[in-house]
Amino acid sequence: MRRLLIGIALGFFALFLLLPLVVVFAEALTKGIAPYFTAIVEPDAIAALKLSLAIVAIVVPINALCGLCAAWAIAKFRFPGRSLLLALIDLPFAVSPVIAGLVYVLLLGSRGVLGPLLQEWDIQIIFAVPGMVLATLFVTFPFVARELIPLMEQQGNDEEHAARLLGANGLQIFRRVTLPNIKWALMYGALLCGARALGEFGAVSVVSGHIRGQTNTLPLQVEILYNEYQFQAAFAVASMLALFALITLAVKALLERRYARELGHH
Amino acid sequence: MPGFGLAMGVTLAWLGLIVLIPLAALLAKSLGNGPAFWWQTLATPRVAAALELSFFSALAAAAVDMVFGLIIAWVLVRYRFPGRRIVDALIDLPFALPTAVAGITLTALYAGNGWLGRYLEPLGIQIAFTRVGVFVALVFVALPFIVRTVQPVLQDLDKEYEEAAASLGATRWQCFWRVLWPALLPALLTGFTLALARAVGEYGSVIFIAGNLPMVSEIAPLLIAVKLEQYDYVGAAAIGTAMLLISFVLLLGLNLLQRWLRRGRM
Amino acid sequence: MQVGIQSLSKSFGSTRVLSGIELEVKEGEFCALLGPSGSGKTTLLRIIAGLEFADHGKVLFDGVDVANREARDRQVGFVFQHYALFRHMTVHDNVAFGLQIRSRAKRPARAEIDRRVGELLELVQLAGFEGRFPDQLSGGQRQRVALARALAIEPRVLLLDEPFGALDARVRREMRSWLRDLQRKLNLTSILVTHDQDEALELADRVAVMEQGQVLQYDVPQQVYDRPATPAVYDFLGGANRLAVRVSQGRVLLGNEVVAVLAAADDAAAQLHVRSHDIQLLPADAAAGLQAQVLRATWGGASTHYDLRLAEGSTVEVDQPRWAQSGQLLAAGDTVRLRLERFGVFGPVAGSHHGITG
Repeated sequence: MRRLLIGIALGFFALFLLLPLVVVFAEALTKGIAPYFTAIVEPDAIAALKLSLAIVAIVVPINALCGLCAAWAIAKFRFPGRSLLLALIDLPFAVSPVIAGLVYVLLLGSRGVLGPLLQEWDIQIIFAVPGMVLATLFVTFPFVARELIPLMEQQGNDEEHAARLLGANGLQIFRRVTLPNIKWALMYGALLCGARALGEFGAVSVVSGHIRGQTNTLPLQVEILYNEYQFQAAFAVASMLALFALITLAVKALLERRYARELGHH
Repeated sequence: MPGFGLAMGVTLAWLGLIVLIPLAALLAKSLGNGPAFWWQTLATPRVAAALELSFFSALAAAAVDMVFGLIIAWVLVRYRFPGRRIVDALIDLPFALPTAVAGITLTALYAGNGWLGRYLEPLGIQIAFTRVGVFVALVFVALPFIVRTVQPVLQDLDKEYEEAAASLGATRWQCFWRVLWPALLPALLTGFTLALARAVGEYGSVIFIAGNLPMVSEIAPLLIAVKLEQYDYVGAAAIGTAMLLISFVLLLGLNLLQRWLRRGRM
Repeated sequence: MQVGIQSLSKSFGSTRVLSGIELEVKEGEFCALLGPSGSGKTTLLRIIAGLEFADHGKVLFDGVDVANREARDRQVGFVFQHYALFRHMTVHDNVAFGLQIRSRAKRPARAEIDRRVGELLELVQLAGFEGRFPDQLSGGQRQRVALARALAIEPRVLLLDEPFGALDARVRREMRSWLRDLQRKLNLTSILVTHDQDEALELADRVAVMEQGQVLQYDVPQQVYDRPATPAVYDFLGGANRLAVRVSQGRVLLGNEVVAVLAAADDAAAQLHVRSHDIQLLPADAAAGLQAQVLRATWGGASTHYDLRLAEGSTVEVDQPRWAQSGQLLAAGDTVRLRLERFGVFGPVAGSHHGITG
């Protein structure tokens, strides 16, 4: 029984998870090492990498900060509509990434609700970088808050109350008591948020202008190369993303093992 | 406790700007011409086929993952074998791997001349560029949701439970059905719900392997993107709201089922 | 410092948790708020601390109303049931916290802070533990760190919320007498919340018995124990039998037997409360006492527990101390006579009376 179950589990794992991972790197290296590096350092690929990292650098701090505020309000206070708010924060996870892009096109695109207004002021958001940032903000919205809320609820308010009774003000309570207690969970949420922001495809694809070197992120670059039948180059860029994914998983596993208690995962 | 006003203000502003106002724009656009017009846009064979494909393949993929996800979670929690930690960490690969990368990789695996496709094709099994391809991609994407919701519940289920049942004379099969299954079912359903929500909206990993033949292997999110490219905003918005509506009804139903299962238990 | 509570009320939504509380704690006094869970005692304590705010009424510190003042400005020491130590700080940093966060003008120099922390840890018998983290300490040690931390800000009043609730029985006893000595030594006005009557009676100078958001009785421990003001206080202070009696021309009648004689002359139904260890068992052939039959005897070390049925039908529980047991234990079916040593009688007309027989 035990052998059979391990066999089934590992078989399924190998077929659906391990094999694809191997394929990415194998396909990227079909023509050898030199073409692989050529594909990676190609100017469009570098530009795509830069844009991807820039989006991550904007999205993660914003969602981390706002997620922290949401967690503070929801975990530390009781108020009417609290569970509704909790559900709304989770909402983006239940929405297709394509719809996440779509809503911004409908709101801010040239024929969208605010389109005429933006055109008058000569502001372009859709089919440009700001739209891609917004769409990424949408799809990575819940990660940090979701990680922090259960932890902060579990930790309760006693330590904060104790600090207040000892004379600490709001900022002191947050910096010296709350933040140290949640810092690893904050990192963990930010890691997941960052990984998703780096790899987001559907939402960004809808609002991107698909202009090489300007509004292409790494995943979009993969698509373009693939559709031009440059398979080896597509997989070379994809292998970079796969490498980021593996690093993310390694850091995540490390955090989970080293700080299980601080993260509130048991 | 200080800071409620500030935290709540930031949270509501963030939620409103990033999620709620754009979603409202979607509703406004799709229902702006009245429900009859909305229905008319939807009731074309191509849209109906796309919605049907998206929801049915998502349900099938989530169901298959429920079985294999449970087995994998069980093996990871209950058995010790070499490589267990790595398997455990890689379960999250579909979370971390950008969907476009997954998409081209699965295609390289299952295309007629691909790693697996070349062996399957002679047997008359075609996966890439068919509905089966959509299903395979969704199985990949949705797997971690089941494993990660069931795993902690299994961990908390003390072995003493089964030992108690065994000491009362239960067979292994009875142990599973009467002791473990009822305890696991709520978590399995939660996982199924999350997997379904993700699979329905999935875009990146599907579009490469699906072939995207209208009426055959074209998923709803892709059709939204197609309509957007044709500047058919109203059509895109109509499909978007339809997807949200169907998802909402499905998730609500699963939630009610969940509650019904929990009744009588604290 | 003197603490005064005047006509204080508080509701959570539609549930009234405190109504019309009046309380006066004198300078240096140790007051215990005793009551079952849900009696409002913890809410009252949190209102005094400034962690909750009352709907009506005053909280007076030395005669000054602080009801609208923030917790951080009240200078109260608060000890939580589950310690609430800062888990990421060492013992030293926990105790020093209240001093370190002061604005530069009011903050003592670093050496001074270290000295104060050393002194406080000495006081709570934890010198040498400065570098430990909370999860490296036992429950009793954690609670003493929490106390040292509360004392560091030189509080005007010390508030303790079930401080020993999470400790095991032996440690709890040790902590109790240690805390009592410490409080006397510091002469610090203190308010303790507890549901443990032994703890309240042993520690406090005065005990406020609370139920359903009201103070039923506020008095020194001996008075509260010997002369409970209401049947509820009697019930809460433990081990009481309740018997339906009649008071007629000064005599308390159980069935047709006279249990006791009081100075009241009313003629009415009443309730008699008597604790199980305030009943003496006499031989069946004794000259006086209520007749009873043993239903069950349970030997229990320090005392033996008897369930008895009185001649008139009601049942009574008696605990007989070991020293009073002579010869063989009584067995089911034996008959005895009972003498009520101390009891209380409560009636709608009779009011409350306390009696000592003999």
